[in-house]
Amino acid sequence: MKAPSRSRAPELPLAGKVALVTGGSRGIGAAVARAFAAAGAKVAINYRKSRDEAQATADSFGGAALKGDVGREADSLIAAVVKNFGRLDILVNNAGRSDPKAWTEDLDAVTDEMWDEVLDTDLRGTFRCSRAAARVMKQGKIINVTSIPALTGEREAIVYSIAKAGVLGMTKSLAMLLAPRIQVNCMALGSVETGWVEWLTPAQRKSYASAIPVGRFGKPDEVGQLALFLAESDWVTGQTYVLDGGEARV
Amino acid sequence: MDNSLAGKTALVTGGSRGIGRAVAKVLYHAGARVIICGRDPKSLIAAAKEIGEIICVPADVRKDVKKLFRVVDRLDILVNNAGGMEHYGGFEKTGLDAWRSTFELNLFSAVEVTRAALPLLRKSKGCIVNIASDVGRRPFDMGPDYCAAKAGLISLTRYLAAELAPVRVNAVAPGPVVTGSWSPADIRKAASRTLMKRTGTTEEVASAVLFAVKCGYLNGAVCGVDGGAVRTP
Repeated sequence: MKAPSRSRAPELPLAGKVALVTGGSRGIGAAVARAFAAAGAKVAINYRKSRDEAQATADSFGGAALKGDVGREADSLIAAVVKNFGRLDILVNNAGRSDPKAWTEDLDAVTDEMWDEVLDTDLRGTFRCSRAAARVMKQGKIINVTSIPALTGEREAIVYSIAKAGVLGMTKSLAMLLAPRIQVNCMALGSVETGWVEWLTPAQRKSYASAIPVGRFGKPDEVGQLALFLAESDWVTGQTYVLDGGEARV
Repeated sequence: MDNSLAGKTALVTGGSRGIGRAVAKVLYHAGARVIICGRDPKSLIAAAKEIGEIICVPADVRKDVKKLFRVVDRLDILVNNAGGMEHYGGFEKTGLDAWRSTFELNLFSAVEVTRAALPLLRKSKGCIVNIASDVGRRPFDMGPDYCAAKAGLISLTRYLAAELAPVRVNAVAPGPVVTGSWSPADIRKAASRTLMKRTGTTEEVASAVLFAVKCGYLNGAVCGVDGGAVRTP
């Protein structure tokens, strides 16, 4: 008897698919976009302000950079993807505000402006992009980004945890509303080498990393791995995948 | 082709049939050296015929762990997959002997295999994937003992993720996957509790195991692969 061969025909898992990653000019969004492009997808990244950075990122994998505020211009953003690439299969709602000023333990320092800014992007933007995408997708995937404070709370991040907890509930409700046509999941991220980790002092970094069982911060490419798994999975929906090195264990 | 697990050794308990066989196959095709164990020699041979050059060990994880680990010489990936429902009944019909038997098969076996594997996994800084169940996250009428044993396996996963680091420990929690002889009515009922309105395939579960093995920042996570049947943590 001849044992079956290990080799399989090379086939890129996302060949023929079109993806949009909001907030894709750098960090996690850029890593997810790169992972999708490497898997054969045509990828558009969206940006709000950093045009040159977004264009350079898109150029690095032959994608498109599209300007737009996800909280206000979701419909035109999704229309631009369809105009550029003819379809949309995968949406990653990654755009979020990361303003150090909004990180405070002082409840009285939380202003309406902070509230509006964070919720407008992280929550309203995710909703509007998802709704607009669901209108144009035949079948597809929506991948949202949330964060550990949404699950456990976080002293310094009340507005952020509110917005991200909203994303958790939205993910599950959208999964129910859009099944079986579109799978909707979210990635609950721990400390990834981007955004707020960059504001930490070396001593803080060391102390934070020591609280993570794997002993380090996550890499944006590891988030790309998770996003790619969710983009390929047809029987995963309504789920929250925690990616945090074992920090929260929830 | 994916050769990302070249040089790694994987052990899949209950690897001769169903989800375990699909997991063994996907790890093999990612380049790993694969060891499977199972109770039925015929199924082990059938698995090897389907997959390729794998090592098969006839062993019952409830009592042959020592024997099994005479064969396992090095280890990077442990998949605690062995388990199953031996009976099916409500709380009042499930006596303590039935509870003990279910816990032996679905939880204590994973504890014993993990204890035996740990010296090798610490040496390799390897990882563990426990195959739990959606009913371990949110109980469904699959018998109280089975739901509780799988919930125990999920809790064990989260506990070990902290204690065993840098060995990573994750769970994959499958929803209804048809692996044995299910009646059409059973399949319809199982499909109806998912959002996708269908049962899953063993390959879909195996893909999640492969992801859990490969993603170095995934630790203490419970990866639901269940068509949306359960959406709670």
